[in-house]
Amino acid sequence: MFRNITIGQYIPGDSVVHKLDPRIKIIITFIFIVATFLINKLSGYLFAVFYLYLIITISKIPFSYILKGLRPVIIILLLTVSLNMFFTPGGTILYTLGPLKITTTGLRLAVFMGLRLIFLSIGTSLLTLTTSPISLTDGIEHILKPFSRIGVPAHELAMMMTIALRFIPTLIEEAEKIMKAQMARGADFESGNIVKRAKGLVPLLVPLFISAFRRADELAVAMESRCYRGGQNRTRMKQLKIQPRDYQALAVTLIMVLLIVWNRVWTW
Amino acid sequence: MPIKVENLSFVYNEGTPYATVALNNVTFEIQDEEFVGIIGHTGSGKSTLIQHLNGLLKPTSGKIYINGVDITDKKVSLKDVRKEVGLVFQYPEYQLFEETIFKDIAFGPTNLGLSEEEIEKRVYEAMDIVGISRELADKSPFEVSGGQKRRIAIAGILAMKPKILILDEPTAGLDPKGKEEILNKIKEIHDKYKMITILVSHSMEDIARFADKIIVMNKGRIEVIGTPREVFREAEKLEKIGLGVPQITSLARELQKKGVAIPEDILTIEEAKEYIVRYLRGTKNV
Amino acid sequence: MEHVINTQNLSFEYHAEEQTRHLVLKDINLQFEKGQFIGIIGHNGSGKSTLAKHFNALLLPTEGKVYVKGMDTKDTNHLWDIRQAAGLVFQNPDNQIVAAIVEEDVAFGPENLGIPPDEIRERVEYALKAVGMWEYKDYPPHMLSGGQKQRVAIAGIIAMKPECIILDEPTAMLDPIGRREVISTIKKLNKEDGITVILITHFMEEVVDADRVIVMDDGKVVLDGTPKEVFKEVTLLKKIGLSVPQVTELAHQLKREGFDVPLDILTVEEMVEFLCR
Repeated sequence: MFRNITIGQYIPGDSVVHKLDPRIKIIITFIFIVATFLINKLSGYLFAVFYLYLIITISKIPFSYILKGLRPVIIILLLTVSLNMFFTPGGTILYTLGPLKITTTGLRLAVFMGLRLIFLSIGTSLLTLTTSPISLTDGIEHILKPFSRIGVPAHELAMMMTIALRFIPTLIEEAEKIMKAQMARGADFESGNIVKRAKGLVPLLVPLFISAFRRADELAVAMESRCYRGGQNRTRMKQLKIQPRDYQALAVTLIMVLLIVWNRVWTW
Repeated sequence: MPIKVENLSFVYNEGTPYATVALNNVTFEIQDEEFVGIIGHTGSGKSTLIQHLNGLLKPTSGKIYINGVDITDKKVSLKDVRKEVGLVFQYPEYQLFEETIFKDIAFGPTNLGLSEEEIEKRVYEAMDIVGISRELADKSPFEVSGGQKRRIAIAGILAMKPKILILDEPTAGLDPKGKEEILNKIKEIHDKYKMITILVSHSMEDIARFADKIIVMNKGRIEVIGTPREVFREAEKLEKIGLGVPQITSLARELQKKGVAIPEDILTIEEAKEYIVRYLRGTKNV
Repeated sequence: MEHVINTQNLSFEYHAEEQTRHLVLKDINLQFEKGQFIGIIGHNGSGKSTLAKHFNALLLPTEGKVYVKGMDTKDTNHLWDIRQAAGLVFQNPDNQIVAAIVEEDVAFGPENLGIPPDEIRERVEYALKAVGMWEYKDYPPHMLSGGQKQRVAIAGIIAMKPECIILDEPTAMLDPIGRREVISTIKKLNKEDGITVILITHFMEEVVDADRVIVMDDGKVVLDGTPKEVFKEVTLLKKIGLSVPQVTELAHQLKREGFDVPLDILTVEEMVEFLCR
């Protein structure tokens, strides 16, 4: 049933955006987030819009997936917009709804904050839409590597993420099997209030946890048998190489940032 | 509680690009007290089939009658079906979770809403049948051996007193001695409680010993169905789908081809010996 | 000529500090030569898996010594050389695959050895082709069958270029198709690539073609010889909870009826040949 699960939102493709070095993509996403916060007027968003439009078109990701990526933040979005809209003092009052007042300042702030949230969301989901979890892990490991000298466990973090990615589908399958076995014994995972349902998860979670620990144990033995001894002196088969297109992507991003900064600073 | 399955079909992920036909128009009957073996490779549909019999899965099309009741009918509560049909999955020891062996075996009966006295009675009875000493009742199920864990898991289903007992590869991962023990135990339970017992396996040897009827599955369909002897006569068909017959049956067929007076539906070594002894005494008696 | 593996008076127990001694291995003396296909059979609890773990220093002897390629397993300086020389494949196909993609998992071993990236690529390709899984190099493990996963695990060991591969009940959790895949892969690696193979199993059919079969019971070696020599000891094998091929049992029974049947018949063909002379 879950055989073809894709972790996160990754949609395979062979666009230029897909092929960019994951380190560059992570850095670019970071730069984009910072740039979004630098925007202080609505007009600044135009540059962000063009930039995102460019990426979305090149990546060939269907727009429906982009919108789907906004689903998790819908609640925060509505909350942000409403709070800003109703509770911002100052400006001319446009509409009154009992104790709640909608003012011009409030409206402008609501739109501004709402847009910021939307752009942040789209920007980050573009990263996960175009980069496979394994590439992301590689990218993070390479970026953190120089920091291992000051104690950041870059290799260990990357190994943890890799193993998690490897076992999530396996554990999901096992959870299904355990659920079925317990349902065959009359367990009920569907009915009841929150408390009852939480208690009802014990027959699923206990065996699953025990199994996960057992797997971890066996995996550790297998890894040691293949001479694993941490990240020291370890080589990697997959090498990340920066290509001209990575420099180009970086350049385009920096141009966008400069335009946003110019927009911020320029007051007319 | 006879079972009747009519034109059962099941499609996984129906309507998506990942749709796969797991069962294709399966029809068969199982009578009271029968010991049935279902054999087939991984992907033949045997696991999907048994999950329909206890209501874990609902057919895409077709009907299933248990004791005359159509369990595919919307009005039938699947939870009630699971009270009568016990299903022991593969590697059942991985589903243990309670603090004590007693509590784990009691999980099923408790979910049936039985009284405490009844639950206690059933738990101890089940422990006795599978051969787990009553003294272990307060021990953690995680402190005992793998073989004992498996028996505890089976006891957990037996304590629900199902009228139909289904076991999916109960010998998986066991060594020859372990296999013997568990198969004999299952036969014992079948004979004592006279319940319908369905054993799913990919070992022809395991199934042939006790089964009244064998259902051979391949790619979602029933390939052959009949008594062990009837099924073994279809040896070519079985070999074509990658399932063999027991080595001794294979020997009988080869000998028959060479002109030895021996039937090709031999089930056991003893049977083969009789015919071969006769042959040796006949031909070597010059 | 140096033995690949050499055990001298090897005895082992798990908790040596406790009062009551419970030896899992008792005075094992075995020497394995390069290029052989050796089968070790025994029921669960006979000590065979414990023995396997001594061959790559996962466990160290309580008494006696174990030498891999001449190196003492107790010598910590040689630990990683020993583990590279003696590769171990385990029973559970899932719990030995580390990476989320087949190719990367096979590379895991060489990466640990610090092999240069280009050479790793060559080794990975060679290993995956040797087990017949090269077309699956981009697959995630959860989309493979048990037999395929075990072959990937074997490839992961081959990529480390070991002296010998030890397989601890590799087919116990597989269905018959998976079992056939794995055993034929192992046999091919031994016959065609000359890799020393030590197969630990309780499936007698798997060691019928071995060069040497060792039978263990209660921590001791009770039989050691060619498959024919070992399998004709039907009474002993049954006593210790093992089974023999049905035709071998039949030969045994016929002999008891007074017929002069060779007791080392292992296959249907051999029996037919004998009976229809």
